[in-house]
Amino acid sequence: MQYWTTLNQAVEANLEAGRVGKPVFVRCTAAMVESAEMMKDQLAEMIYYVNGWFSSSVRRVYVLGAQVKSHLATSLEYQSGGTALLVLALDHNEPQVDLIVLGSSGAIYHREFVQPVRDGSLTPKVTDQVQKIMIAVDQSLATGKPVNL
Amino acid sequence: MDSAVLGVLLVAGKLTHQENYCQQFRNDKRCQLIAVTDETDVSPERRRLNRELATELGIHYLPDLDEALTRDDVHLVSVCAEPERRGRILIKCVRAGKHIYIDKPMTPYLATADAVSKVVKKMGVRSQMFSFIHQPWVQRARYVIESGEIGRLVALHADCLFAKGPAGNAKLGSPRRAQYPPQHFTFVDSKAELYAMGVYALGLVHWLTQRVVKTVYGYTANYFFEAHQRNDVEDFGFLSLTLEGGLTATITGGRVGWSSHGGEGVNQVYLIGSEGSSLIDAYRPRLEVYDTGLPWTAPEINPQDPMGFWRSTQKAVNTQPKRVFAPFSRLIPAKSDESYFIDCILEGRESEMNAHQAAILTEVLLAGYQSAATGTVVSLPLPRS
Repeated sequence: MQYWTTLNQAVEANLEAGRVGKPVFVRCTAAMVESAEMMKDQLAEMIYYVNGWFSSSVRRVYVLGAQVKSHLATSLEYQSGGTALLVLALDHNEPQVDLIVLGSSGAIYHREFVQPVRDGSLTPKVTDQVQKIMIAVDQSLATGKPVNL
Repeated sequence: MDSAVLGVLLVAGKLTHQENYCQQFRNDKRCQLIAVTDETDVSPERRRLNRELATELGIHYLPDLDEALTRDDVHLVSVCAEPERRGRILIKCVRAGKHIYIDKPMTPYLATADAVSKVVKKMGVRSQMFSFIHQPWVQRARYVIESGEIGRLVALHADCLFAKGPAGNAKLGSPRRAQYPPQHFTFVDSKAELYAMGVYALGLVHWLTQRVVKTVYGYTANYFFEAHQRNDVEDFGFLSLTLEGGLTATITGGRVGWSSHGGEGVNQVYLIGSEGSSLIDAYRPRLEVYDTGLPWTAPEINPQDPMGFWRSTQKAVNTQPKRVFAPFSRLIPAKSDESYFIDCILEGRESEMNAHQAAILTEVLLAGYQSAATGTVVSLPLPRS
């Protein structure tokens, strides 16, 4: 099973079915990165999925994590008003993910503590929009300030 | 005063958190409830609600706070007046030499927060703001940090999202325009939820790290409720924080609707360490129990309290507890926040969530509101005028 692609499909299916209303906030905290070098690639992939859930473009990015290489906390603000807090950390061989998708009239929760969180299925799909956001991530990390897109 | 040790005066009654706090003080054998009181110029409705609680508890209603504070049999005052007038009442109580138990958050005003903190120190009384820090899952989080099992703490991410209120009627489609400073915090049908709920998550971050917050980036939103939108208060917000020593944190606070969680809401903290991570959840470990009973449904809307803020108004519409989640923590005998405060008073020690700590939280929350209004990172301390 391709864990991340299947998770994305499952969330999309429930959002499209309107079970939780319109998605308004995503909190995804994932200790699942093998090495600090892979952190941004995996963030880009996560952003790709979350962008799809919101069906809106990002207007502002702010990132915490300049002082440590083992952790990134990114806030995304969408034109639609929706927001996301995406946190990535090293997994120390104990991968785990906690996902909360708040809808305007319900919520989706997902928690996985071991494999298959790190099954290699989270691989970068860098669209133009994701690429712009990742440039903003770098700018925010460098300046310590939010970046408007 | 019979064999009781501490006389407890209650400021404000029904339709406040006093409905909860007074029960805990009454259950503590070291306390005796003396009376309900309030300022003389409160609205007739507030006076009626105060009298109602006094009658229910079988104690007097003293309509003049100043007079009530002269009583020698009052040692401790539990203050649940609305946030906008809470600070001045706290100062009065402290000046009268009384210990103060404070509804959360302490005050929305920076100058008042500083003043309460200062007068508490000067008068040498004990103070405590209600928080989650004595709950078993939060104690577990502290143990995980102190045990070193995740190495050095690098970051933490705390969520306090209350699953109450009839969600789904907010107008969506654009970012909220936040104002700074916010003018009002409490209405019959809505509260500023970053303030009211975010203070719990922020309190966890503050207590677990014992670090000074250096910068705040904040965002507020109207995602769930038309009432919050109409009253221009947010129903959801988050803060991204940098703390001294390179630590970082994010917190969320909000009211997210009856149907959004299998329990009372999301209460959790994700600890990221240099050698591992740990997710501590108020609802885990747990059993999930399914049976042939009718599924849980949201209560009818009580016009006195549409969002389900208060115990009595929810009882009036027969609100049922959600029964699927059976967290183990409910079986752990835990001391109430109120009893912990009584320990502090009797043992002559400071509470770990005293007025000074509460003032710090007010300042961080205000920085968050300023950030949300300006779209910029706000550095602390905030300037004092």
